[in-house]
Amino acid sequence: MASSTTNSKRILKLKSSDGITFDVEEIVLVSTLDFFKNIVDIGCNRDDLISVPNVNGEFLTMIIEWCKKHAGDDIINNGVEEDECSNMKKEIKEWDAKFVKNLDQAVLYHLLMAADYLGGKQLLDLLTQKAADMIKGKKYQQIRQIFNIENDFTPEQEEDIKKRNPWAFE
Amino acid sequence: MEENWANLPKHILDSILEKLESSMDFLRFSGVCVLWHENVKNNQIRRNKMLRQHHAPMLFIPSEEEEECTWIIYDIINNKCLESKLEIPYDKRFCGSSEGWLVATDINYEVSLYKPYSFLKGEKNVESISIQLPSICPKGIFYDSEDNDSDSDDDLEDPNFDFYIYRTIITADPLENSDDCRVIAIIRGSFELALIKPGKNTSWTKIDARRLQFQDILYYNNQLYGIDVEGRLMSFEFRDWKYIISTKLRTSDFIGRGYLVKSYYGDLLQVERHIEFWYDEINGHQRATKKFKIFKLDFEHQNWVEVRSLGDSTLFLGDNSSICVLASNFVGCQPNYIYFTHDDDTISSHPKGLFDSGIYNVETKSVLFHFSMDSTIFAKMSGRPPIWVVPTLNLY
Repeated sequence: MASSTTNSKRILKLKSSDGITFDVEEIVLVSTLDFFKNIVDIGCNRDDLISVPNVNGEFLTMIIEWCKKHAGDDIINNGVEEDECSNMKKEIKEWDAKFVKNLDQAVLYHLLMAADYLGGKQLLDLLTQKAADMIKGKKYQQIRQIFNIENDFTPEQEEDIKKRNPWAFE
Repeated sequence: MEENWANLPKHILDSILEKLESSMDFLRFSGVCVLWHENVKNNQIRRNKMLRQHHAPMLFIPSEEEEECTWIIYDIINNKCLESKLEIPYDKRFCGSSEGWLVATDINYEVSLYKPYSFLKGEKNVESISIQLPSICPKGIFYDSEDNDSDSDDDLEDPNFDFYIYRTIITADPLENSDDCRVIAIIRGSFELALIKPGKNTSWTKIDARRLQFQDILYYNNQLYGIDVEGRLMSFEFRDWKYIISTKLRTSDFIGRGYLVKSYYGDLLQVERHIEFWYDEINGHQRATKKFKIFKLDFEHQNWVEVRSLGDSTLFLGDNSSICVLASNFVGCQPNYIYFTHDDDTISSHPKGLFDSGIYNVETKSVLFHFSMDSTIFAKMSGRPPIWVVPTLNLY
């Protein structure tokens, strides 16, 4: 019989697509990712191994790390102690900035897909902001290079696009 | 699983797209690949309805070839002039730049609104967009049109019609948001306000404002506000004044002008531009901006509180409706700076006449530099000072 006493101490066991297992506190996952909130709501047997087939070990590690940092967000956002909360918010914001700072497009892509699959709205927001920041100020040819996107326009289509708003394509 | 950015799920692409505040970034996104382009097309209407108070403008400068009446577009943030030339069929001063529209008057005091970015010439058949408004000056006030030929004793010279309007704002896009659109002008001389709803009114209405002389107006939180030359704030209920909200701001030694702007975070700011004027025998009348002071309105106490820093925002001031942007949305834009242009006065046409435009660092309280321009352009610019204009998109 499971020996965990309170909710917050319950541990969930996860298995990534490449077979790596993780033990994570239930509250960490349930408060940040809808995927786990739903599973727990439905009433899974917490001793079971939860399969996360779309996400491999490397990326699941990163996501869990993010979740651990953000598990207390609700408390902070609705907190009474204004000064203390605003300091904590600032510290978390800086941590987030570091988290995305050196992500290359490949890792970013997989994290995006994983965050989407796992229903992490806030994480998804952070990652799409990173993608937007990588796009800002770049010409469309550069964007293609950065993200390894092939040009699938016909020459006529491309010309049309450039001529409609010429000032953006010089 | 290989990365496949081209085929990102639509809702993720939407989420990335909405974080691109710069129209240039938005348009370049559409040029990356077919699916990204589709996504832009699907988002363009929503996008176009976004208020442009927070979009970095470009500077329109009259070109050297005066006969052709073209304008050069200078992208100040990237420090380059665009190759696309603007052929707006108008060769006089613009009296307003608001929401991406330019406002001008002609010899009959009829007011026109132009959407300049729709006039850029690519080969694509994009309809150039402009709207004609009724005359703002009733005939017979300055001269009787039948006496045109007489050399009468008239000591009323032909008024300089394109200076008749001091400043104009537009409260919403006249085509996309016509129900909310009003055009409000400050008339030079009396500095009174006049208002019209494009497409709905057949004539302009004067707004009763207790004879205050207005220097700037702003549509803020669905309400019209104005400051007079002393920096007093007044709010309006569209035909009548409603409240005088603050006491005056100016000190007795102040020389310059004031601007109203909505900050990026939603505060009501008044910016004082301190200008030095002088005359020198070689270069004639000169002016140079020395510093700016920024104030935020404390609504509760009805007074202005000085603000020492713009934080992560940047201001663009001039003849246009003042703009405040979040610098990080526009790569190359400096936070806590004010980009300003020579406004309102004619520019001296002397060879070394100073063109009072430049960049101001709010933190160090110093004008970094004034733009230098070829002196031959000055001669042509008199009456046609450069103006900030926010980009608009030509939709599909």
